[in-house]
Amino acid sequence: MFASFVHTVYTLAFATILLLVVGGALLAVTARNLIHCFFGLVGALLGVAGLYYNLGSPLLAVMQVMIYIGAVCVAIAFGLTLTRKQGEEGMRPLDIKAAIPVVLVVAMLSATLKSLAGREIVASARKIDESRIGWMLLGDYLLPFELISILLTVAVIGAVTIALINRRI
Amino acid sequence: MNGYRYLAGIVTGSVSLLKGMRVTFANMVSRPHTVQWPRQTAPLPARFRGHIRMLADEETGFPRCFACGSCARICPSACITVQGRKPGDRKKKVAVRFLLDFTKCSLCGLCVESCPARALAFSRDYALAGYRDTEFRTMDLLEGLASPFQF
Amino acid sequence: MSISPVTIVCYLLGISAVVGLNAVILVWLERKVAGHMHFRYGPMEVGPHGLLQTLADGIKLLGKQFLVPDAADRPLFLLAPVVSLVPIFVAMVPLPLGETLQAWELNIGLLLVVALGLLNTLGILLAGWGSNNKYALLGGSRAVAQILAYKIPLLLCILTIIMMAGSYSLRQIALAQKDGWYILYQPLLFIIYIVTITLETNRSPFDFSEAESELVAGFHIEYSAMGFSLFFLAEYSYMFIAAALASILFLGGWQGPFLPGPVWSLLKLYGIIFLLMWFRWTFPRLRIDQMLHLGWKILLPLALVNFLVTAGVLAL
Repeated sequence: MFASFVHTVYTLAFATILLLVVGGALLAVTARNLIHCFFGLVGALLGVAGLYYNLGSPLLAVMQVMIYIGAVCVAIAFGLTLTRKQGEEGMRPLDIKAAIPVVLVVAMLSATLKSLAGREIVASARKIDESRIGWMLLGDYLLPFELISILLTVAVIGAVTIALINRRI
Repeated sequence: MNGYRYLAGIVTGSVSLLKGMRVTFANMVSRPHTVQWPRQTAPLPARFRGHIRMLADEETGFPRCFACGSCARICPSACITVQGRKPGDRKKKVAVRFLLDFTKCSLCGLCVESCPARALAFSRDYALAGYRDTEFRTMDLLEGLASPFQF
Repeated sequence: MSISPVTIVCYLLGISAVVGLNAVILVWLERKVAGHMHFRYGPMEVGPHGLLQTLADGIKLLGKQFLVPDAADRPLFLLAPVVSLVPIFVAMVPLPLGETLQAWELNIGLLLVVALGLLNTLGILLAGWGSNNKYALLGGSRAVAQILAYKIPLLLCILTIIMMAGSYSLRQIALAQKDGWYILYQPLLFIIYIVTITLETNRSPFDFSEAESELVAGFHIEYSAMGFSLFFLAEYSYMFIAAALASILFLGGWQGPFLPGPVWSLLKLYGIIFLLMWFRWTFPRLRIDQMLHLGWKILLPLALVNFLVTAGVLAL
């Protein structure tokens, strides 16, 4: 009785997370109002944080909230509040070009699932200490880590350059 | 040089902020100036001007006013109405009606200064409240004083 | 997985009690501090020294009507107070207020609290957008500009502390200060942190999103009754969390001589909140560009230099 109650609660929690991810993502791509899209994105990212937690990595979940919602989304919101124009001008949110990423995603997902078929999937096999992640990032995976940093720096420089060009004209 | 100015700016800024905080803290621990009315009342200044009131004659207790009407004439807002009559046994008139329209009065005090009988003075009444404006349109200043006339 | 539902309900009730009581006390304290700094008394009538004034105000707000403007974006408008309040309940879970007074010892507690603290801005943005009011929208966009200015110094402060304590766990960080509070080693960092939490809690001199003299009431201008009170609850609860974090990171949390732990943590916490109130009633509001200057050109370099020096000293 008691155990089944707990089970129901966990199931409900998981269902909520799934709803957040899927619903948020759908809202983000289909809503006509930009700010609705934005909050759909926030919901989806929050749901992904919940998924990480469910997979046994609270650190990743918190980082997801801090970086994606606390930083990326806020930066997007900053852009939205500064550059938005009234009304829904421009393209319809869904047109034929949207099919390209859909096809790509479906292809990639089916390939992944195919490779996983027949294997047993165990969530959170073992707990990894946070400090080990740090050591790994600064040891074995130093090169990818630094490459990502360079990518980000290049992106920032590019953004600044574009902004400067627009300003001079 | 620039770096020096940057750091000096931070230091002087912080010091000025601390000075401001010292001022407000000193304010906080000092006695509040508020008077918790109506439990406490602030002392009225000696020359406080409330609405005018009628003084009584020390001997008779009647109003000092003999209805010369100079206050009504000098009043720039024309807010005083005064009428008097002679009581049978006396030469001087005594006011029977002295009405003040306090809604117009600007408390200039010309009536007090012009009164030859020194019958008018400023009251110290500041907590005036009423349900309708007529209470202040026709304030009867003779109320509470003795009258030589029988009604 | 071993926590029973009963325990969870008890924790929720306890946290709700803390949120409610804290707001009642802080609103009263704020009005008292403001009053005395202006040579006034503040509330005096309801209860001894006006202690029950907030309760009376709360009951009054309960009795009022919650209006949704016709032109408002209804779902966003209704969601906004909830979005600002809900993270608080989660953020209070890992806060240790005493040796044993902690809902859940979480090894990433500090990160959780900081991450959820950043969500406050989302609630303000939602409210600002959903109200469909120019003042509210300006308030919302100002809040977003503000978070960009203080977030990096705030994270640098926290990184420095994590580096010194060698743990993300709030409890471990507090325990690491058994022999000496971090404020003694890091006075500059403490000042930077206090400034950033003033920015984080949207309090004067950084109350740009509210700015009553410019934006009337800013983001919550269209909110009445309980919507408004939820924003108030959220604001004061964020103050509580930020001050509790400051007391744990810099003042050793619940540790102190003679008095029991919870008393010490509340003393330190409300001391820091008093400091924030003191700021509010002393300093005039900055201009936005001055705030950005402060965040990007003063706090960020200072925090970065402090971080690097600390790292160097720790490495030696």
